[in-house]
Amino acid sequence: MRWFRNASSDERLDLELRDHIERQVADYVASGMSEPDARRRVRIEFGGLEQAKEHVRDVRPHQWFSELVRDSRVGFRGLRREPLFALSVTIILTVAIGASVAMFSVLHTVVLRALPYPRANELAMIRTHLMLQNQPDGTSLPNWFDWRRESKTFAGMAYYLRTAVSAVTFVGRDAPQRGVAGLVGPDFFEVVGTAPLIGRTPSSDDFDRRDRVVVLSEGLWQEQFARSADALGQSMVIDGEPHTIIGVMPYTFQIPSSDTRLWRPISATPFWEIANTAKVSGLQRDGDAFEVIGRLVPNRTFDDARAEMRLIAARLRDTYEGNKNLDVRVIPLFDYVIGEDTQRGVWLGFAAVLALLAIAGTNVGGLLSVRAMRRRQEFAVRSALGAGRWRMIRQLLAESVVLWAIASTGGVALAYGLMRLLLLYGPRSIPRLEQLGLDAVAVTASLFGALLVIIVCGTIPSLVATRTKRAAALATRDQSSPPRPRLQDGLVVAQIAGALVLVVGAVLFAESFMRAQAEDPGYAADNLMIVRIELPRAYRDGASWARFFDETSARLKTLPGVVGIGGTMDFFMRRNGDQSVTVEGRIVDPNAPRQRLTIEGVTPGFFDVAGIELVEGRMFEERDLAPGAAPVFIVNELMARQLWPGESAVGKRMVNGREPRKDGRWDSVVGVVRNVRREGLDLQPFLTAYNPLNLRSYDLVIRASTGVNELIPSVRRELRAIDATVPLAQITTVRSRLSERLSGRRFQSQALGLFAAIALVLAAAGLYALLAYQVTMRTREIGIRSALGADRRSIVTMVLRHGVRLAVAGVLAGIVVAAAAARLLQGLLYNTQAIDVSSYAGAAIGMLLIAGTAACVPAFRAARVSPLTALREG
Amino acid sequence: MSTKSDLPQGTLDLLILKVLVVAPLHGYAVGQRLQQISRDVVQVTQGTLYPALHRLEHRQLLTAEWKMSDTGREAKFYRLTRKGRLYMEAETRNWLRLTDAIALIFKSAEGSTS
Repeated sequence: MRWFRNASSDERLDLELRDHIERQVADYVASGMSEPDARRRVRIEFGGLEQAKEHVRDVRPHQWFSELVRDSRVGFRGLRREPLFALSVTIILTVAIGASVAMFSVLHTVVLRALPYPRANELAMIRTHLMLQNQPDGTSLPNWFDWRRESKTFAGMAYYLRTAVSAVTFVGRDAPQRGVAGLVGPDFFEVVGTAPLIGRTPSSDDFDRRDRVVVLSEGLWQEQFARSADALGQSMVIDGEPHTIIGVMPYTFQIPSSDTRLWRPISATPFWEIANTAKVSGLQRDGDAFEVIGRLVPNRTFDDARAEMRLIAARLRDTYEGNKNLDVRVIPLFDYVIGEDTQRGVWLGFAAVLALLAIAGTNVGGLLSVRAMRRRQEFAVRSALGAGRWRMIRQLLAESVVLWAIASTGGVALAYGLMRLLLLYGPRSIPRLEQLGLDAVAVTASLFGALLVIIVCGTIPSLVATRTKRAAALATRDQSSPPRPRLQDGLVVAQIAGALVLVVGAVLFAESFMRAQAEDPGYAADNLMIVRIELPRAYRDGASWARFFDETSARLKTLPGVVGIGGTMDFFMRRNGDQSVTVEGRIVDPNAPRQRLTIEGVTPGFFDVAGIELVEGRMFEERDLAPGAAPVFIVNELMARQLWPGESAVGKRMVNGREPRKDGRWDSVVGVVRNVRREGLDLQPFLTAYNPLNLRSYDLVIRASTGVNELIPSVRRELRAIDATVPLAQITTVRSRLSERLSGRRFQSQALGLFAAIALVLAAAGLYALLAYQVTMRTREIGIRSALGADRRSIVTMVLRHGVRLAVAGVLAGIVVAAAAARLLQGLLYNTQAIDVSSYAGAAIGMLLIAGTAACVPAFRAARVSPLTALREG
Repeated sequence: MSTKSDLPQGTLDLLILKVLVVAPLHGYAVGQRLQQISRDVVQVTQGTLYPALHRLEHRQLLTAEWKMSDTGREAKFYRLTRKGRLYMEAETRNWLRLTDAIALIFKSAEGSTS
């Protein structure tokens, strides 16, 4: 609409000025001039009609929109004349924008958004810290009680149970299921502050009366009750006990963990006998498993809380023997949930994408400015015809904006695709990544960022390129004396430097990932299936557990491909490793740092099935499980070396726990096995002792000869047939779990590798384009040189030398930047030094080779310049 | 391209407004009147006149309408608005005060040299 009015106002302006001319002509004719003379005179006096119009248009600021449309159309037409140029710029920008939108969305989803709790920035985890071991630990209720009583910076403090957050069996309306449950102390929901979707959360009366009530997660509510409010008041059986459903918490409520399916007040469990605050002070003060969450008093900072809690912890250390080794850490809930490594990793990825965007912008800037150089003549002509400088700037801007608009559309589509891929194949280890989606903030921020980059990188170089004496540009075809392209040289150096930084990063992360991947797990990880078994209450004693295991073992072995069955308490060692042993004849120093130690119950056949090799002594045998058999241990090499350095561990004696048994009996170590990495290949093995046990909650380990994945359905079927009341939640393979554990590292190295590859291509293309352009511009000079006897080699050398000089400058700058940034990377690398000569050298050499190759093409083209044609064309 | 009138900045606007106080005129006539009244001292080219007219129109000091003119073609006639009149009066006072002041300075400077 507006555009139409302005178009007609342009016509009106034309009419107005023509009217003026006609009147002037008429006046001259009236004063005696002939009409042709009058017209000529008026035309001379008037100057350019178009120019006058231009001046008038410039004082009409309200028309910027139609001007923009007009400029864009001109820009679009200009781009269409050079489809190859437009296409390459569009592709570069699309890739860069797509990558930045996707990465910014990740950043926004994972790191920038606050946690979905009311005033979430007041929430903190308050954790016990073992001073000697320098590692976090669970908190005991007496300490929680004292913290809460003494703290003035926390408005509320509640505890929940971490280890009990493992599986419980509950029966809903149909089949038995397993799920993670939270066992929560008083005020837990009040401290966090999230309101239930429907119903209510446990009240203090519920705690006092020890009511068996349960709060469901939205997910469970959806599955079991199809979001019906009828769920409230219904009964469900958890671990054999009926519980009344009193409320539903929304999806966003993810404490203790995102897979928590229900919450129960701790008062409904035997824990309450000890957790009831009246009796709490008499309990052991260290080595417990509760987590404490607190809410700051408004306007108090985490630092206030840290200072206060440090004092409280010091007081408790002075007062209680059990607190000697205990300190307190206050961790903002955000850092606890998102993890500082994750935050750093995501920021790093974002920085990489920014670097890529800058490289792409610089690259496009180079292309645009080269194009602008070629168009100097055009600009000079237009300037002579009255186009003001502002007008030409606008035109350049408009072209950039047109490119940006096209690339943005493509970029957002690309980002959408990338994000779908991330959701499907992205690492599971990054919290909140599953909530990834195109969101307005991320898209807007990225697009504006990209626009800024394009305007800065695209327009300014072009402006510099067009800042030229009009007469000089018009006078000749102006190919012999292009302005010294210092700026373009600088742009190319910057691209190479940026690309080198990304390549170094990618090499470091790839190395780190491959080193983690190549770690020997210490057992045969292929074709190993793990089924989590959680026997219901009906299985009352060890004998019934053993019967279930034996029957399972017998039936599964009949399946073709199954070669062995074993059991272990927790194959992937998700537990704390906070147990201890006492060795015969050794005085226990209570102040000695406690090593991370796990005692693992296994079935006798476990080692053979898992493929854990025996180093010394013997494996467990069936007789070790027989009633009345002497209790025995097998330890891993690490533990053997640590506890009995220089001696054989076999035959030594020890007991589970921190002191000798009252009755003076000891258990013997009968064997030593290899260290294993079961939690993840990038996690160091730790001290482990095994004992033979009949198991109730355990991982069934199934060894197949081949194709373990195909076995999963038949294993599931067989287990159902043995006892349908045994819930089957997780069936997984060891390989998939191990690779899932490394998925974060794989993702980092892949993403960085991709960015680095793109950056490399861009930098090489940038160098190539610049040299090719310079060769074209210097065709005449090169022609003269060869006419004067310069041989091909010296011409090739001349071009190559320039290219190599730029590449070396870029590589050197890149190494400096990479080394400066290396400190930030170190914590994210596995067994890899962030400043690692071979990685840097490799990246630098690779970069130089690629740059050299890119420089060769224009160099050899220069050498083929025929003096005759060059001179004739010049 | 540039003005040949060597008018101080901003004075062209004032002169245009002054010319239009008497009656609405089209662009050509404004130029002619300026030249005529100033006895050819002030010469304004189209390159400065029309931008000035459009700028004043945009600032709503002038309003314009297309009317049939003596030539039989439609022409764009500019007329002073109320706002334009007030502006012109204020600017005229400013201008006179300024020229008086300048004249005073010139006079006293002459006085001191003689």
